[in-house]
Amino acid sequence: MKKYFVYLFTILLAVVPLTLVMGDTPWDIVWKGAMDRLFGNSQQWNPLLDERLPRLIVILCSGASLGVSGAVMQSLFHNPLASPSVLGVSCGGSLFVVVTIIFGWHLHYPYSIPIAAFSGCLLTLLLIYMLTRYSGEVNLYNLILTGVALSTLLVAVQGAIMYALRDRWQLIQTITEWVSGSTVDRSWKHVHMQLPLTLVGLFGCWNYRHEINILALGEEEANSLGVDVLKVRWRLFLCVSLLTAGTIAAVGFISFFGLVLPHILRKICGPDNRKLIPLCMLSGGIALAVMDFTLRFFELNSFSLGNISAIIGGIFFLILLPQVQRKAVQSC
Amino acid sequence: MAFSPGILYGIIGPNGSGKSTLLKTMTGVWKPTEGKVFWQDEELLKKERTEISKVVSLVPQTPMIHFDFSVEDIVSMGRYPHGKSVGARVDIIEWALRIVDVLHLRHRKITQVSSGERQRVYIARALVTESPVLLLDEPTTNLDIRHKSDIWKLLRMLVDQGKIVVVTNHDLRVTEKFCDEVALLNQGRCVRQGSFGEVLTQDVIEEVFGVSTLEV
Repeated sequence: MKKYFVYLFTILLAVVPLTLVMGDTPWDIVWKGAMDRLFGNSQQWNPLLDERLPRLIVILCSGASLGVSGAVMQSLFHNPLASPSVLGVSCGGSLFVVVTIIFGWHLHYPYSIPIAAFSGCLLTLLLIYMLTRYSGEVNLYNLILTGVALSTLLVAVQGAIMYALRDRWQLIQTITEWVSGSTVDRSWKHVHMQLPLTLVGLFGCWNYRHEINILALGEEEANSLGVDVLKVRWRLFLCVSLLTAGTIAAVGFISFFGLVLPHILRKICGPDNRKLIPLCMLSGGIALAVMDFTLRFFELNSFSLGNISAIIGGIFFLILLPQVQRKAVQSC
Repeated sequence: MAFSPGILYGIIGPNGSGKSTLLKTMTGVWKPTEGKVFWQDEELLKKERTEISKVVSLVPQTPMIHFDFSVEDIVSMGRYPHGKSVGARVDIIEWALRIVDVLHLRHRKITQVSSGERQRVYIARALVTESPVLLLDEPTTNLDIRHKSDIWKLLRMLVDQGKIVVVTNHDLRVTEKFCDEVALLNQGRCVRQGSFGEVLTQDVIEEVFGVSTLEV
């Protein structure tokens, strides 16, 4: 296990400088400008300090958030195909951000987008809780069904709004770029939006890593082993909502990443969340950074990070599918 | 119904009589619709979840497997009520693995062991909780004759050490042989509790099981 962390840290040490160095402005000019800003009197905008560094932090936070929330959801729902969006909280956050962009609040209030993302995720979570309580027992099947139904509704509402505004092409372009998942023009504002949510969410998931293992055995077993299933589960849902909200606020929608990455890592390190969660934190950040670096290195401007993640994730998913189907047949 | 240390209890009854339900209710996994569960004159189910688990542990009949944890990981989860560092007390974990004869399987994935071996793994997990009350739901169902005998001997040893052991079992002859006392359930109610002969009279067999004899 330690060897995986060594490999990952080695890759991280390689990726970080490559990401910070790559750009249109020659490195010596960038470095000099950065040093003047840090130790001199210069107030000039610097690509390293004002763009590349915050973008890297946002990417690492987003990758870690998606990886960890995927691992947690897969354990909680006993399903290696679960993802952070299974409860529909990401759709709620997305809808609120779309509304914020449409009304232009983000132009007047700098932190309206993270507030909207967090509010949307949290309200969706609350709605799911109330709906499942109303329908009877709060069990995993009811949660999944409610989440799927709510996701469908929220996506439909968002789609209807965008269709109604289809003539306002600049607005639709802004929303489309954001929904596709992008790291273009990320600044320290985005770091401020995301970092607190990410740190709290990651800490919460890390803190409950033992309980997540036991919850993966099933509700009744977890109860009998001393885990307060209701309390821990909803706290973990809240942590996942924080992580999802932070990612939505900073980079938009990145699909499949939170589904595929923990699934692959589980094959390498096993299902023990004491190892899986820190591995997802590190690997998630690195994987997303590598994808972003690849996009910029090959100047694939037609694609966003969300597009690439969905394509690569989809391919991996198709490769993994026969194994998952075989396991499903065996367990039947 | 009352259970005391030093006695091996068998819970018997027809299908659907509530044997598994009783065990799950005693552990607080399911909330009772009627009645209360007491431990040393205190209401057990009003305690914190971890405190309940320190008192009573349950070996389920057919645990679901969703992820391929190792045998040792599954057993070590039984230490959770005693603190979050579930890897602590390696000596107890090894003892439990050895006593149910799965020590050689410790690093194997739970999905790669037979159903009988899996049953023994879950018994080991219940042992590492060190709870004074052990509830086992059909613990020998998938076991071969040697391991069945070993498990009953283990349960007898635990009873002799002062634990309260309650076992549900369909096999009435095995129950008669190994259990000191039985409780007969029917339609969610305890019909009788006492020695096997006292409980399973001819009238009761006919009334509860709908047969005239226990021989098949």
